[in-house]
Amino acid sequence: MKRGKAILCLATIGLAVASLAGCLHTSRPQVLFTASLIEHVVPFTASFDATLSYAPSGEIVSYQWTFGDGGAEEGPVADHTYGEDGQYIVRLTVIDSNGLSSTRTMTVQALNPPPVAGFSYTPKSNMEGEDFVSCSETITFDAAEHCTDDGEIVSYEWYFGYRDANNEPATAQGATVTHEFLYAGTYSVSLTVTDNDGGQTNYIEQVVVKGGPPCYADVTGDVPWTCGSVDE
Amino acid sequence: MKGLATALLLIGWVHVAAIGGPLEMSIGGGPSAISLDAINHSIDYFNALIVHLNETFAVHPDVDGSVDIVPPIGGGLYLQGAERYWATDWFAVGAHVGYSRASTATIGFYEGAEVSEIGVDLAFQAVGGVLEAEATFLDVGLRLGAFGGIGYYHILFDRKTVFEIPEEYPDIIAGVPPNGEGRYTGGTIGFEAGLSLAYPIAEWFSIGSRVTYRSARVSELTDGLSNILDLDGDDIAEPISLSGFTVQLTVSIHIDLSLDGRKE
Repeated sequence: MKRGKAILCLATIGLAVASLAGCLHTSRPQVLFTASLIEHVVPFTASFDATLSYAPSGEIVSYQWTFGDGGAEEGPVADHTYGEDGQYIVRLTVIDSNGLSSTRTMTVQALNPPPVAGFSYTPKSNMEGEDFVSCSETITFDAAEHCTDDGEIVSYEWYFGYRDANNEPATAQGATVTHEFLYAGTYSVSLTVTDNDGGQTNYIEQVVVKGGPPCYADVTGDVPWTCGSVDE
Repeated sequence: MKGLATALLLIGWVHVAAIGGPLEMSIGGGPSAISLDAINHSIDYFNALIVHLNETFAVHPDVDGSVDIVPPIGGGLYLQGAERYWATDWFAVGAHVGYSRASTATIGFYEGAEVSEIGVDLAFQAVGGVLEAEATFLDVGLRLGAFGGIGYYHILFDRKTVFEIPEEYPDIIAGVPPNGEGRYTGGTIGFEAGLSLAYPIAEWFSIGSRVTYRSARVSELTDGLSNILDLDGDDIAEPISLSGFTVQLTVSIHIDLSLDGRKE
Protein backbone atom coordinates (compact mmCIF):
# COMPACT_ATOMS: atom_id res chain seq x y z
CA MET A 1 0.00 0.00 0.00
CA LYS A 2 2.89 2.35 0.80
CA ARG A 3 4.33 1.60 -2.60
CA GLY A 4 1.05 2.50 -4.25
CA LYS A 5 0.90 5.75 -2.32
CA ALA A 6 4.41 6.63 -3.39
CA ILE A 7 3.66 5.95 -7.03
CA LEU A 8 0.56 8.08 -6.95
CA CYS A 9 2.32 10.92 -5.22
CA LEU A 10 5.18 10.80 -7.69
CA ALA A 11 2.73 10.77 -10.58
CA THR A 12 0.98 13.80 -9.17
CA ILE A 13 4.22 15.69 -8.69
CA GLY A 14 5.27 14.72 -12.21
CA LEU A 15 2.04 16.04 -13.57
CA ALA A 16 2.53 19.31 -11.74
CA VAL A 17 6.08 19.68 -13.04
CA ALA A 18 4.93 18.94 -16.57
CA SER A 19 2.21 21.51 -16.20
CA LEU A 20 4.63 24.14 -14.97
CA ALA A 21 7.00 23.38 -17.83
CA GLY A 22 4.18 23.97 -20.25
CA CYS A 23 3.75 27.53 -19.12
CA LEU A 24 7.39 28.43 -19.34
CA HIS A 25 7.48 30.02 -22.73
CA THR A 26 8.49 33.41 -24.05
CA SER A 27 6.38 35.89 -25.93
CA ARG A 28 6.88 37.42 -29.31
CA PRO A 29 7.94 41.05 -29.56
CA GLN A 30 5.22 43.61 -30.18
CA VAL A 31 5.46 45.88 -33.20
CA LEU A 32 4.16 49.42 -32.98
CA PHE A 33 5.31 52.08 -35.41
CA THR A 34 4.30 55.43 -36.78
CA ALA A 35 4.56 57.02 -40.22
CA SER A 36 4.69 60.72 -41.00
CA LEU A 37 2.75 60.27 -44.27
CA ILE A 38 0.73 57.46 -45.74
CA GLU A 39 -0.91 59.27 -48.65
CA HIS A 40 0.75 61.89 -50.79
CA VAL A 41 1.52 62.86 -54.33
CA VAL A 42 4.84 61.52 -55.55
CA PRO A 43 7.62 62.18 -55.07
CA PHE A 44 7.54 62.33 -51.30
CA THR A 45 9.54 61.12 -48.34
CA ALA A 46 7.89 59.40 -45.40
CA SER A 47 9.51 58.91 -42.03
CA PHE A 48 8.87 55.73 -40.07
CA ASP A 49 9.54 55.33 -36.36
CA ALA A 50 9.37 51.98 -34.55
CA THR A 51 10.82 53.01 -31.23
CA LEU A 52 7.49 52.21 -29.57
CA SER A 53 7.98 48.53 -30.38
CA TYR A 54 9.11 46.35 -27.50
CA ALA A 55 9.95 42.80 -26.53
CA PRO A 56 8.16 41.41 -23.45
CA SER A 57 11.00 39.03 -22.82
CA GLY A 58 14.41 40.29 -23.86
CA GLU A 59 15.09 43.20 -26.14
CA ILE A 60 14.65 43.98 -29.79
CA VAL A 61 17.88 43.37 -31.66
CA SER A 62 16.75 43.93 -35.25
CA TYR A 63 14.34 46.18 -37.12
CA GLN A 64 13.88 45.25 -40.77
CA TRP A 65 11.85 47.49 -43.04
CA THR A 66 10.63 46.83 -46.54
CA PHE A 67 8.74 49.57 -48.31
CA GLY A 68 6.90 47.68 -51.01
CA ASP A 69 8.78 49.23 -53.90
CA GLY A 70 11.95 47.20 -53.55
CA GLY A 71 13.44 49.49 -50.95
CA ALA A 72 14.55 48.15 -47.58
CA GLU A 73 16.24 49.52 -44.52
CA GLU A 74 17.26 48.51 -41.01
CA GLY A 75 17.02 50.35 -37.74
CA PRO A 76 14.35 51.68 -35.39
CA VAL A 77 13.74 54.73 -37.58
CA ALA A 78 13.79 54.95 -41.35
CA ASP A 79 13.04 57.41 -44.12
CA HIS A 80 11.90 56.36 -47.55
CA THR A 81 11.15 58.29 -50.72
CA TYR A 82 8.45 57.10 -53.08
CA GLY A 83 8.98 58.22 -56.66
CA GLU A 84 6.34 56.20 -58.48
CA ASP A 85 2.67 56.27 -57.83
CA GLY A 86 0.98 53.14 -56.52
CA GLN A 87 -0.13 51.36 -53.39
CA TYR A 88 2.71 50.03 -51.28
CA ILE A 89 2.81 47.79 -48.22
CA VAL A 90 5.34 48.89 -45.65
CA ARG A 91 6.39 45.90 -43.60
CA LEU A 92 8.34 46.04 -40.37
CA THR A 93 9.75 42.86 -38.85
CA VAL A 94 11.36 43.05 -35.44
CA ILE A 95 13.45 40.28 -33.92
CA ASP A 96 14.14 40.05 -30.22
CA SER A 97 17.09 38.65 -28.33
CA ASN A 98 15.31 35.27 -28.07
CA GLY A 99 15.15 35.03 -31.83
CA LEU A 100 11.40 35.57 -31.89
CA SER A 101 9.97 37.88 -34.50
CA SER A 102 6.81 39.81 -35.22
CA THR A 103 5.66 41.72 -38.24
CA ARG A 104 3.22 44.53 -38.79
CA THR A 105 2.26 46.26 -42.01
CA MET A 106 0.92 49.59 -43.15
CA THR A 107 -0.43 50.64 -46.53
CA VAL A 108 1.01 53.71 -48.21
CA GLN A 109 -0.76 55.38 -51.10
CA ALA A 110 1.68 57.17 -53.42
CA LEU A 111 -0.54 59.28 -55.62
CA ASN A 112 -0.08 60.09 -59.25
CA PRO A 113 0.76 63.77 -59.67
CA PRO A 114 -2.05 65.40 -61.64
CA PRO A 115 -1.22 67.07 -64.93
CA VAL A 116 -0.68 70.81 -65.06
CA ALA A 117 -3.38 72.47 -67.14
CA GLY A 118 -3.64 75.85 -68.81
CA PHE A 119 -4.43 77.44 -72.16
CA SER A 120 -4.12 80.60 -74.19
CA TYR A 121 -6.43 81.96 -76.83
CA THR A 122 -6.06 84.21 -79.86
CA PRO A 123 -6.89 86.62 -81.28
CA LYS A 124 -7.71 88.86 -78.40
CA SER A 125 -7.69 92.54 -77.76
CA ASN A 126 -6.88 94.52 -74.70
CA MET A 127 -8.65 97.57 -73.44
CA GLU A 128 -7.68 99.26 -70.20
CA GLY A 129 -5.83 96.17 -69.06
CA GLU A 130 -8.69 93.76 -69.80
CA ASP A 131 -8.38 91.08 -72.46
CA PHE A 132 -11.43 90.39 -74.60
CA VAL A 133 -12.45 88.71 -77.81
CA SER A 134 -15.07 89.70 -80.30
CA CYS A 135 -18.43 88.17 -81.04
CA SER A 136 -18.59 85.77 -83.95
CA GLU A 137 -14.87 85.75 -84.28
CA THR A 138 -13.12 82.41 -84.54
CA ILE A 139 -10.99 82.05 -81.43
CA THR A 140 -8.21 79.49 -81.26
CA PHE A 141 -7.75 77.89 -77.84
CA ASP A 142 -4.37 76.29 -77.42
CA ALA A 143 -3.58 73.99 -74.48
CA ALA A 144 -0.70 72.08 -76.00
CA GLU A 145 1.88 74.62 -74.95
CA HIS A 146 0.54 75.02 -71.46
CA CYS A 147 -0.18 71.48 -70.19
CA THR A 148 2.49 69.20 -68.79
CA ASP A 149 2.53 65.85 -67.00
CA ASP A 150 5.02 63.30 -65.70
CA GLY A 151 3.49 60.88 -68.20
CA GLU A 152 1.34 61.66 -71.16
CA ILE A 153 -1.82 63.70 -71.47
CA VAL A 154 -4.39 61.56 -73.20
CA SER A 155 -7.39 63.87 -73.37
CA TYR A 156 -8.32 67.55 -73.44
CA GLU A 157 -11.97 68.34 -72.73
CA TRP A 158 -13.23 71.88 -73.26
CA TYR A 159 -16.40 73.52 -72.04
CA PHE A 160 -17.02 77.06 -73.18
CA GLY A 161 -19.30 78.07 -70.38
CA TYR A 162 -22.77 78.05 -71.95
CA ARG A 163 -25.40 75.87 -73.57
CA ASP A 164 -26.40 76.31 -77.16
CA ALA A 165 -29.85 76.76 -78.68
CA ASN A 166 -30.48 73.00 -78.34
CA ASN A 167 -29.55 73.19 -74.68
CA GLU A 168 -26.42 71.19 -75.37
CA PRO A 169 -23.23 72.24 -73.59
CA ALA A 170 -20.76 73.96 -75.86
CA THR A 171 -17.81 71.59 -75.75
CA ALA A 172 -14.82 70.48 -77.78
CA GLN A 173 -11.99 67.96 -77.58
CA GLY A 174 -8.36 68.33 -78.47
CA ALA A 175 -5.22 70.14 -77.50
CA THR A 176 -6.01 72.98 -79.88
CA VAL A 177 -9.59 73.90 -80.73
CA THR A 178 -11.49 76.83 -82.19
CA HIS A 179 -14.73 78.36 -81.06
CA GLU A 180 -17.00 81.31 -81.85
CA PHE A 181 -18.98 83.05 -79.15
CA LEU A 182 -22.26 84.39 -80.53
CA TYR A 183 -23.18 86.62 -77.61
CA ALA A 184 -21.22 89.11 -75.63
CA GLY A 185 -20.60 88.28 -72.02
CA THR A 186 -18.13 86.73 -69.66
CA TYR A 187 -17.67 82.99 -70.14
CA SER A 188 -15.98 80.55 -67.77
CA VAL A 189 -14.01 78.44 -70.20
CA SER A 190 -13.07 75.15 -68.62
CA LEU A 191 -10.33 72.76 -69.71
CA THR A 192 -10.05 69.29 -68.18
CA VAL A 193 -6.92 67.32 -69.01
CA THR A 194 -6.43 63.66 -68.21
CA ASP A 195 -3.12 61.85 -68.10
CA ASN A 196 -2.28 58.24 -68.85
CA ASP A 197 -2.54 57.33 -65.13
CA GLY A 198 -6.04 58.70 -64.85
CA GLY A 199 -4.97 61.90 -63.12
CA GLN A 200 -7.14 64.89 -63.97
CA THR A 201 -6.82 68.62 -63.63
CA ASN A 202 -9.46 71.19 -64.36
CA TYR A 203 -8.45 74.71 -65.35
CA ILE A 204 -10.95 77.54 -65.70
CA GLU A 205 -10.37 80.97 -67.14
CA GLN A 206 -12.82 83.82 -67.67
CA VAL A 207 -13.08 84.91 -71.29
CA VAL A 208 -14.71 88.27 -71.93
CA VAL A 209 -16.60 88.53 -75.21
CA LYS A 210 -17.50 91.93 -76.53
CA GLY A 211 -19.20 92.59 -79.71
CA GLY A 212 -20.50 95.19 -82.09
CA PRO A 213 -23.27 94.65 -84.56
CA PRO A 214 -24.01 92.30 -86.09
CA CYS A 215 -22.99 89.71 -83.57
CA TYR A 216 -25.64 87.21 -84.47
CA ALA A 217 -27.52 86.87 -87.75
CA ASP A 218 -30.87 85.47 -86.93
CA VAL A 219 -33.36 85.30 -89.78
CA THR A 220 -36.24 85.41 -87.37
CA GLY A 221 -35.17 88.76 -86.08
CA ASP A 222 -35.79 87.63 -82.51
CA VAL A 223 -32.26 88.33 -81.46
CA PRO A 224 -31.51 91.96 -80.77
CA TRP A 225 -29.15 93.77 -83.06
CA THR A 226 -26.74 94.57 -80.29
CA CYS A 227 -25.28 91.73 -78.28
CA GLY A 228 -26.30 91.41 -74.67
CA SER A 229 -24.89 89.48 -71.77
CA VAL A 230 -25.31 85.72 -71.75
CA ASP A 231 -26.95 84.11 -68.80
CA GLU A 232 -24.48 81.43 -67.87
CA MET B 1 -39.69 30.16 -0.85
CA LYS B 2 -35.95 30.40 -1.22
CA GLY B 3 -35.55 30.04 2.56
CA LEU B 4 -37.72 26.93 2.60
CA ALA B 5 -35.67 25.35 -0.17
CA THR B 6 -32.49 26.12 1.71
CA ALA B 7 -33.88 24.60 4.90
CA LEU B 8 -34.95 21.41 3.11
CA LEU B 9 -31.54 21.20 1.47
CA LEU B 10 -29.83 21.52 4.84
CA ILE B 11 -32.10 18.91 6.43
CA GLY B 12 -31.38 16.54 3.55
CA TRP B 13 -27.72 17.30 3.73
CA VAL B 14 -27.52 16.59 7.46
CA HIS B 15 -29.55 13.43 7.00
CA VAL B 16 -27.31 11.92 4.36
CA ALA B 17 -24.22 13.29 6.01
CA ALA B 18 -25.09 11.76 9.32
CA ILE B 19 -24.66 8.30 7.99
CA GLY B 20 -21.10 8.98 6.71
CA GLY B 21 -19.31 6.90 4.06
CA PRO B 22 -16.93 6.65 1.12
CA LEU B 23 -18.77 8.99 -1.22
CA GLU B 24 -17.54 12.52 -0.71
CA MET B 25 -19.34 15.54 -2.04
CA SER B 26 -17.72 18.90 -1.68
CA ILE B 27 -18.02 22.48 -2.71
CA GLY B 28 -15.33 25.06 -2.60
CA GLY B 29 -14.24 28.40 -3.79
CA GLY B 30 -11.47 30.90 -3.63
CA PRO B 31 -9.10 33.11 -5.49
CA SER B 32 -7.66 31.96 -8.76
CA ALA B 33 -4.70 33.21 -10.73
CA ILE B 34 -4.94 32.42 -14.42
CA SER B 35 -2.05 33.09 -16.74
CA LEU B 36 -3.91 34.35 -19.84
CA ASP B 37 -0.44 35.30 -20.97
CA ALA B 38 -1.22 36.18 -24.58
CA ILE B 39 -4.18 38.27 -23.46
CA ASN B 40 -1.99 40.07 -20.98
CA HIS B 41 0.62 40.67 -23.67
CA SER B 42 -2.09 42.29 -25.76
CA ILE B 43 -3.05 44.37 -22.73
CA ASP B 44 0.60 45.41 -22.44
CA TYR B 45 0.37 46.42 -26.09
CA PHE B 46 -2.75 48.48 -25.39
CA ASN B 47 -0.95 50.11 -22.50
CA ALA B 48 2.13 50.92 -24.57
CA LEU B 49 -0.14 52.78 -26.96
CA ILE B 50 -2.13 54.46 -24.16
CA VAL B 51 1.05 55.63 -22.40
CA HIS B 52 2.37 56.99 -25.69
CA LEU B 53 -0.89 58.86 -26.35
CA ASN B 54 -0.95 60.20 -22.79
CA GLU B 55 2.62 61.46 -23.15
CA THR B 56 1.90 62.96 -26.54
CA PHE B 57 -1.24 64.81 -25.48
CA ALA B 58 0.09 65.86 -22.08
CA VAL B 59 2.11 68.49 -23.92
CA HIS B 60 -0.32 69.14 -26.76
CA PRO B 61 -1.92 72.58 -26.51
CA ASP B 62 -5.19 71.59 -28.17
CA VAL B 63 -5.95 68.25 -26.55
CA ASP B 64 -6.90 67.51 -22.96
CA GLY B 65 -7.36 64.20 -21.25
CA SER B 66 -5.59 61.08 -20.28
CA VAL B 67 -6.54 57.44 -20.11
CA ASP B 68 -5.77 54.98 -17.33
CA ILE B 69 -3.85 51.92 -18.41
CA VAL B 70 -5.61 48.57 -18.53
CA PRO B 71 -4.99 46.39 -15.46
CA PRO B 72 -3.79 42.88 -16.27
CA ILE B 73 -6.40 40.17 -16.36
CA GLY B 74 -5.99 36.89 -14.53
CA GLY B 75 -7.01 37.19 -10.92
CA GLY B 76 -10.55 36.10 -10.26
CA LEU B 77 -12.91 33.87 -8.37
CA TYR B 78 -13.01 30.11 -8.74
CA LEU B 79 -15.92 27.92 -7.68
CA GLN B 80 -15.97 24.15 -7.69
CA GLY B 81 -18.31 21.29 -6.99
CA ALA B 82 -16.78 17.79 -6.66
CA GLU B 83 -17.66 14.22 -6.02
CA ARG B 84 -15.12 11.57 -5.03
CA TYR B 85 -15.35 7.91 -4.26
CA TRP B 86 -12.83 6.72 -1.69
CA ALA B 87 -12.03 3.21 -2.87
CA THR B 88 -9.70 2.76 0.09
CA ASP B 89 -8.85 4.87 3.09
CA TRP B 90 -6.13 6.60 1.10
CA PHE B 91 -7.21 6.55 -2.55
CA ALA B 92 -10.16 8.13 -4.32
CA VAL B 93 -11.35 8.73 -7.82
CA GLY B 94 -13.84 11.38 -8.74
CA ALA B 95 -14.80 14.32 -10.82
CA HIS B 96 -15.38 17.99 -10.36
CA VAL B 97 -16.84 20.92 -12.22
CA GLY B 98 -15.15 24.26 -11.82
CA TYR B 99 -16.01 27.76 -12.87
CA SER B 100 -13.66 30.70 -13.00
CA ARG B 101 -14.09 34.28 -14.06
CA ALA B 102 -11.81 37.26 -14.51
CA SER B 103 -12.18 40.64 -16.11
CA THR B 104 -10.49 43.96 -16.70
CA ALA B 105 -11.48 47.30 -18.14
CA THR B 106 -10.56 50.91 -18.67
CA ILE B 107 -12.18 53.87 -20.36
CA GLY B 108 -11.04 57.42 -21.00
CA PHE B 109 -11.29 60.28 -23.43
CA TYR B 110 -9.12 62.79 -25.20
CA GLU B 111 -10.84 66.08 -25.89
CA GLY B 112 -9.55 67.97 -28.88
CA ALA B 113 -11.43 69.16 -31.94
CA GLU B 114 -13.52 66.08 -31.27
CA VAL B 115 -13.82 63.72 -28.33
CA SER B 116 -11.89 60.49 -28.87
CA GLU B 117 -12.57 57.43 -26.76
CA ILE B 118 -10.18 54.77 -25.59
CA GLY B 119 -12.10 51.90 -24.06
CA VAL B 120 -11.20 48.31 -23.23
CA ASP B 121 -13.54 45.84 -21.56
CA LEU B 122 -12.46 42.21 -21.41
CA ALA B 123 -14.13 39.38 -19.51
CA PHE B 124 -13.07 35.77 -19.34
CA GLN B 125 -15.07 32.78 -18.10
CA ALA B 126 -14.12 29.12 -18.08
CA VAL B 127 -16.03 26.02 -17.13
CA GLY B 128 -14.11 22.80 -16.69
CA GLY B 129 -15.09 19.21 -16.07
CA VAL B 130 -12.23 17.18 -14.61
CA LEU B 131 -11.77 13.49 -13.85
CA GLU B 132 -9.34 13.14 -10.98
CA ALA B 133 -7.61 10.77 -8.64
CA GLU B 134 -6.53 11.62 -5.13
CA ALA B 135 -4.22 9.95 -2.69
CA THR B 136 -3.82 10.67 1.00
CA PHE B 137 -0.23 10.37 2.12
CA LEU B 138 -0.49 11.75 5.62
CA ASP B 139 -3.33 11.23 8.07
CA VAL B 140 -2.69 12.61 11.52
CA GLY B 141 -6.06 14.08 12.22
CA LEU B 142 -5.37 16.43 9.34
CA ARG B 143 -5.39 14.57 6.06
CA LEU B 144 -2.81 15.70 3.55
CA GLY B 145 -3.18 14.43 0.03
CA ALA B 146 -2.16 14.95 -3.56
CA PHE B 147 -4.37 14.83 -6.58
CA GLY B 148 -4.21 15.05 -10.32
CA GLY B 149 -6.64 14.89 -13.17
CA ILE B 150 -7.48 15.49 -16.75
CA GLY B 151 -10.35 17.62 -17.94
CA TYR B 152 -12.06 19.56 -20.64
CA TYR B 153 -12.37 23.33 -20.37
CA HIS B 154 -14.82 25.50 -22.25
CA ILE B 155 -13.99 29.19 -22.49
CA LEU B 156 -16.05 32.29 -23.12
CA PHE B 157 -14.23 35.53 -23.81
CA ASP B 158 -16.09 38.83 -24.18
CA ARG B 159 -14.21 41.64 -25.82
CA LYS B 160 -15.00 45.29 -26.40
CA THR B 161 -12.25 47.59 -27.60
CA VAL B 162 -12.42 51.19 -28.82
CA PHE B 163 -9.28 53.02 -29.89
CA GLU B 164 -10.05 56.40 -31.41
CA ILE B 165 -6.85 58.28 -32.14
CA PRO B 166 -7.40 62.04 -31.94
CA GLU B 167 -6.94 63.80 -35.25
CA GLU B 168 -4.40 66.07 -33.56
CA TYR B 169 -1.99 63.14 -33.32
CA PRO B 170 0.84 64.21 -35.62
CA ASP B 171 1.57 60.89 -37.33
CA ILE B 172 -0.22 57.76 -38.44
CA ILE B 173 0.06 54.74 -36.17
CA ALA B 174 0.47 51.26 -37.60
CA GLY B 175 -1.08 48.71 -35.34
CA VAL B 176 -3.89 50.54 -33.64
CA PRO B 177 -5.90 47.72 -32.05
CA PRO B 178 -9.07 46.98 -34.00
CA ASN B 179 -12.31 48.41 -32.65
CA GLY B 180 -15.24 46.13 -32.03
CA GLU B 181 -16.90 43.77 -29.67
CA GLY B 182 -17.79 40.12 -29.64
CA ARG B 183 -18.00 36.88 -27.74
CA TYR B 184 -15.38 34.27 -28.53
CA THR B 185 -15.46 30.63 -27.49
CA GLY B 186 -13.20 27.62 -27.54
CA GLY B 187 -12.32 24.48 -25.68
CA THR B 188 -9.37 22.31 -24.81
CA ILE B 189 -8.15 19.37 -22.78
CA GLY B 190 -5.97 20.18 -19.80
CA PHE B 191 -4.46 18.85 -16.62
CA GLU B 192 -4.74 19.68 -12.95
CA ALA B 193 -2.63 18.71 -10.03
CA GLY B 194 -2.31 19.88 -6.49
CA LEU B 195 -2.36 19.29 -2.78
CA SER B 196 -5.34 18.90 -0.51
CA LEU B 197 -5.71 19.42 3.18
CA ALA B 198 -8.78 18.12 4.99
CA TYR B 199 -9.81 18.46 8.60
CA PRO B 200 -12.60 16.07 9.61
CA ILE B 201 -15.07 17.79 11.90
CA ALA B 202 -17.13 14.63 12.13
CA GLU B 203 -17.16 11.26 10.45
CA TRP B 204 -19.44 12.63 7.81
CA PHE B 205 -18.22 16.22 7.52
CA SER B 206 -14.92 17.91 6.91
CA ILE B 207 -13.53 21.25 5.93
CA GLY B 208 -10.37 21.72 3.98
CA SER B 209 -8.29 23.54 1.51
CA ARG B 210 -6.99 22.70 -1.93
CA VAL B 211 -4.17 24.25 -3.87
CA THR B 212 -4.42 23.41 -7.55
CA TYR B 213 -2.21 24.06 -10.50
CA ARG B 214 -3.97 23.82 -13.82
CA SER B 215 -2.34 23.58 -17.23
CA ALA B 216 -4.49 24.12 -20.29
CA ARG B 217 -4.07 26.14 -23.43
CA VAL B 218 -6.50 26.92 -26.24
CA SER B 219 -4.74 27.87 -29.45
CA GLU B 220 -7.51 30.15 -30.63
CA LEU B 221 -10.99 31.33 -29.83
CA THR B 222 -13.52 32.21 -32.50
CA ASP B 223 -16.76 34.13 -32.58
CA GLY B 224 -19.99 33.09 -34.24
CA LEU B 225 -18.60 34.13 -37.62
CA SER B 226 -15.39 32.15 -37.15
CA ASN B 227 -13.35 35.31 -36.62
CA ILE B 228 -10.36 34.65 -34.42
CA LEU B 229 -9.76 36.54 -31.21
CA ASP B 230 -7.06 39.01 -32.21
CA LEU B 231 -6.93 41.82 -29.70
CA ASP B 232 -3.77 43.52 -30.90
CA GLY B 233 -4.63 43.32 -34.59
CA ASP B 234 -1.53 41.47 -35.75
CA ASP B 235 -3.64 38.85 -37.58
CA ILE B 236 -2.44 36.16 -35.21
CA ALA B 237 -4.92 34.56 -32.83
CA GLU B 238 -4.27 35.07 -29.17
CA PRO B 239 -4.04 31.67 -27.46
CA ILE B 240 -5.72 31.38 -24.09
CA SER B 241 -3.63 29.91 -21.32
CA LEU B 242 -5.64 28.75 -18.35
CA SER B 243 -2.51 27.81 -16.52
CA GLY B 244 -2.30 29.04 -13.00
CA PHE B 245 -2.92 28.37 -9.37
CA THR B 246 -6.17 28.20 -7.48
CA VAL B 247 -6.59 28.20 -3.74
CA GLN B 248 -9.89 26.94 -2.38
CA LEU B 249 -11.59 26.53 0.91
CA THR B 250 -13.85 23.48 0.78
CA VAL B 251 -16.57 21.86 2.79
CA SER B 252 -17.28 18.15 2.27
CA ILE B 253 -19.79 15.59 3.36
CA HIS B 254 -19.26 11.83 3.28
CA ILE B 255 -22.14 9.55 2.38
CA ASP B 256 -22.37 5.90 3.29
CA LEU B 257 -23.23 3.70 0.33
CA SER B 258 -23.20 0.39 2.16
CA LEU B 259 -26.40 -1.48 2.97
CA ASP B 260 -25.71 -1.65 6.70
CA GLY B 261 -25.18 2.05 6.92
CA ARG B 262 -21.53 1.80 7.90
CA LYS B 263 -18.48 2.87 6.08
CA GLU B 264 -16.66 -0.06 4.56
